[in-house]
Parts: sequence; C-alpha cells; structure tokens
Amino acid sequence: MNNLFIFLTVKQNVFSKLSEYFSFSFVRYAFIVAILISLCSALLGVSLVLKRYSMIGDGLSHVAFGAGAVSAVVGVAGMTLTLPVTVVTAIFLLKSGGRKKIMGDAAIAMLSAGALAMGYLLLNITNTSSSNLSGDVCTSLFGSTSILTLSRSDVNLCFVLCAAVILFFVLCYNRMFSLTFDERFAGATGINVGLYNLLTAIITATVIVVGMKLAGALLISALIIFPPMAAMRICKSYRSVILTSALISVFCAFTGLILAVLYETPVGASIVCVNLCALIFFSLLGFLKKKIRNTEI
Amino acid sequence: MPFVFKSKKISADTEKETKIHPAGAWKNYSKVRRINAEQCRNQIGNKIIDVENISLSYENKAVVNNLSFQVYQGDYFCIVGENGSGKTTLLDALLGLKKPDCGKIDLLDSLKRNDIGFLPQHTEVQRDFPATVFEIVMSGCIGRHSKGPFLSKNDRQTAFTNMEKLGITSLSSRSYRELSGGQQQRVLLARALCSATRVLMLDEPVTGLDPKAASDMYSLVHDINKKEGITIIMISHDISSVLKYASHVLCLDRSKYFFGPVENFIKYRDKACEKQYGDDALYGNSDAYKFGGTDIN
Ligand SMILES: Nc1ncnc2c1ncn2[C@@H]1O[C@H](COP(=O)(O)OP(=O)(O)OP(=O)(O)O)[C@@H](O)[C@H]1O
Ligand SMILES: [Mg+2]
Repeated sequence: MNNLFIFLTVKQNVFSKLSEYFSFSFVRYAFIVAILISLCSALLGVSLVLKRYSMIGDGLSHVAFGAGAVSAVVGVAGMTLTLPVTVVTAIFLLKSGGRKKIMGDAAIAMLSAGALAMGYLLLNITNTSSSNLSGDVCTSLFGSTSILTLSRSDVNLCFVLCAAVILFFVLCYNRMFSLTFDERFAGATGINVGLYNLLTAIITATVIVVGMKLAGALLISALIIFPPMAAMRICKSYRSVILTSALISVFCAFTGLILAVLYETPVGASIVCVNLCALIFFSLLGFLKKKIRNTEI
Repeated sequence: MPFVFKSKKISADTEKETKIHPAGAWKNYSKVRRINAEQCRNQIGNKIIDVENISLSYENKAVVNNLSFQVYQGDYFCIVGENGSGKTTLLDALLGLKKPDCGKIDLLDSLKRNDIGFLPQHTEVQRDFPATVFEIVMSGCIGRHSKGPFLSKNDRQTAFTNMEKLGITSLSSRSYRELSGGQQQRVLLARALCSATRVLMLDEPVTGLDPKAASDMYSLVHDINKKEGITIIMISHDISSVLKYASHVLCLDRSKYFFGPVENFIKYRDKACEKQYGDDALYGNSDAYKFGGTDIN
C-alpha cells in the first residue's frame, strides 16, 4: 500500500513536472525536432545498413564536426558551411564505395580521425582566451544541450529538411528497395542508379548535419544504425523493417528526451542508451521467436 | 547423358570453316539459314539487337575487342567462354550498365531497355537481406511502369503469375534469407520475368542448382522461349545444354571470337578438339574426362 502511494505521488510529480516543462516553447521545439530527426535517421538507416555503408555515416559525422569547427573559427553561422562540405564528402564517399571495400574502410577511418583532429586543433589554436573550450567541444561531440537551445528559425529549417527527406523515402519506396537489394538489376530495369545514389548521399549528409544538434557528432551514427538493426532482429519483410525501425527510433528519441529533461542527463547519450536497450530487447525477442518456431516444427 | 555431335547434319556447302571474323560468320550464318530454313523458320523474327565493333575495358584493361554480332527476336542466344573472358561485362554493356569504349549497340524494332529482364550472376545479390519473396518479385515490375511512384494491381498480378510459373507461390511470404540457394535462384528468375516482356538475359542461371533443378530451369527457359517468343540471351558454362537448346552461340575466348548458329559452333568446336590446340582446345573439352570416370556402384 505504502509503495503504491509513493509510486502514485512520484508519477504525479513526473506528470506535473512534464506539463510544466511543456509550457516552454523550447522544450516543445526540442520534442518536435527530435521526432522528425529520429524518423529521418531510421528511414535512411535501413538503406545504409543494408548497403553496408554504416561506416560512411560514422565517418561523415566526424567530417561534419571538422567542418563545424572551421565554420566556428571563420565565423559563419549555422549550417551554411557545414552542410555543403558534408554533402560533397558524402557524394565522394558513396561514389567510391563500390568495389574497393578494404581501401574504402581504411580511407573512411583516416578521414574521420583526420577531420576530428583538425577540428579540435583549429578550435584550440584560435580560442586561446575563452575558458569554456572543452564545454563547446563537448557540446558538438555529444550534443549535450544544443537541442534545447533551438530558435524558431532552426526549427523551421529542420522541419523543411526532414519533411523533404521523409517525402523522398515515401515516394521512392519501391525504387529504394530495388536499389538497396540489387543495384545492378535496378540499373538494368531503367532506374537511374547514379541519380539515386547522389540523392542518398545528399540525404545522408543532411540527416547527419541536422541530427548533430540532437545527438552530437559522435553519437548521431548510433541513431542511424540502432533502429534498423533492432528491427531486423524480428522482421522478415523490408516493409516491416522500415516501419518497425521508424517506430523504434521515434519511441526511443521521445523516451530518451523525456528522461533527459526529467533527470537532467545529456540528451544525445540518453537517447542512444534507450536505443541500446531497444536493441537488446528486440534481440531477445528475435531469439525467443526463433526458439518458439523451432519447437513448433 | 552423353551428347552426340550432330555435325553430319550440316550440308556440304557450309562445310567451310566459319571464320573467326564476325562478318564472315554472319555471311555463313545467312547461308545456313536458307538451308535449315525449315528448322529455323519459327525463329526468324526481326533484328532486335545489333552490336557493331564494340570494345569494352576496365581502367584501360581491355576485356572485349572489336566484337560484332546480331540478335533476332525469338533467338536462343548463348554466350560461352572461360572465366574472366568478359561474358558478364558484355551483358552489362547490352543492359546499358556499361558504356563501350568504341563501337555501338543498337536496340532495334522498338525494343526498349525496360522490355529486358535480367538474372544476375549468382554471387552478387545480398544473401541476408530482410525481404519477402513477394517483395523481391514485385521489384521486377518497377521498370516497366515508370509512371507513378507506386506499383499497381496489374503489377501484383504479374508478380503472382510469374511466381506460379516457377512454383514458388507457396513461398511468397517467406523471407528471402531463409531460402535455399536454388529457391533463391527461382525467386530471382521470377523477378527477371516480371521485367522481361521481350528479352530475358540470364547470367549463369544454373550455378548452384542440383541436376534436377538445373534441367527444370532449362526446360522452363526453353518453354518461355518457344511459347512466349521471348528472346533468351544466356551465359552458360554447361556446354551440353548449350548444344541442346541454343539456336546461336557466341564464344568469347581471349582474342578469338566465334559467332554463328549452333550447328556451326559444333563443327568449330570439333575442329579445335581435333587440332589439340593445347589449352586452346575449345572450352568445354572436359567432357571426355567427365564421362570417362568409372561408376562405383
Ligand atoms: N568492376 C571491375 N573492375 C575491374 N576489372 C573487372 C571488373 N569486373 C570484371 N573485371 C575484369 O574483367 C574481366 C572480365 O570479367 P567478367 O566478369 O566479364 O568475366 P566472366 O566472363 O563473366 O567470367 P565468369 O565466367 O567467371 O563469370 C576479368 O578479367 C575481370 O578481372
Ligand atoms: Mg560472369
């Protein structure tokens, strides 16, 4: 009885606390942006993971960090420099990702480490007086609070970009399936493979640059990779993988953000940890499913 | 099943050995056509593919040099040659996936790229892809109606018809990654049939199939060729089936090319065997070895 009472009061507290938070516009913005970004990252992630391009996503986020450092030093606002640089790198990486698998792997690792080192060095050299350098770097690497400091125009930009990405994946669902499953066949049936790879590269870069606000440079690739991996544990059709992955991603982003707001934990890390839990949960589910099917037979 | 050379059937005035030069082969071919008119009558359609002096290469490494041949509607056209002789590369060029360095490939008689179905070489398709059989077969329909982004009822019907043809209707909601290699091959053939309204290109369709499945596959392709009048272009290492089913053969071997009707190919092959050209003795010469073994039972 006592326990129940405590539970109820805590619950009440949580709800009152949440409704209090939701009265602030920046919290609402944060939730909207988080849901949009997680939806995009999940949709994109299915294609990237199945094409074995996860490492490219990871490498790109480091490049985006480097570009962000440069634009901070030069004094360019927002994404005006980061987005083009990342897009160009993405096009370059996805283009050359064809046959030379081992070289590509090493090249991406070098690129990420190089971009990271260069970005940090630049920030350090130019920022001799400021005391809060490590805080700045931490924010752009782990995205600790930047999601809660969005302005109205940031939200609008995010909204437009994410809507474009989602529209693309809905309209090109069949083509993307064919391309991801078998690029040569898709080309033979008259799908413009080059064009779609270019679009995928641009979308990857966009999602990463926008998503860095949510989870930071080091963690954004987790948002792209975890949901599809979790979905693939239990789903056997492409459509269910896409839908499940989108649901998992949105759910995890929402839960992670609530936890972060309530317990004042870093946003990106919380979301990624919830994603990790989801992956473990779905792995267990997949294992059980297999067991049950085996015993049935 | 030991095969019998049928070279005696060819009458005296075609006795002259077919020239390696494609133009010469073509002259000879038209002669044979007249002679074997009865045999060939149902095969003479319009010229649909005209390949003229094409050369193909990868990064300055020449693969195919100066090759010419023609394909007519209703042909059963086989491409043979040893590993690495450029068969797959040639097929890529026919499919428009690879640009020839020089020469040209003409699609005639209003043949369009999306009238062509394609079964890729076995190894290239992802083996652990989360997709159902139905989704994969449906993806063959994308090229033929490039109007809207979504597939229609008509496409579903096409997919079902082709699955029925290959006896995989019962697998339709199974996951592709749970199927055996032979079943996967059937799925990919059904997909190819969905996009093949006039021409079907097959790259080593029987690799990995057991003898029964292989002969089923051959008789199925034969039926498609005869009953539906779909032109077959097949790459094959199985020389006895080539001799049994093909109407025309293109043999790629290092610098020597042969192109002509199958009767001439048999003669050409006999000659090469007689001469005991060392390892130049024509490809497929291992039959003596194959049938020379003793039966343990
Ligand atoms: N993407 C590529 N880049 C560079 N070289 C290639 C590429 N693909 C094939 N080659 C080379 O071109 C030549 C022809 O290859 P191709 O795949 O056409 O042979 P193939 O006749 O289909 O052989 P197989 O019987 O083994 O299928 C080979 O020497 C191969 O090494
Ligand atoms: Mg090949």
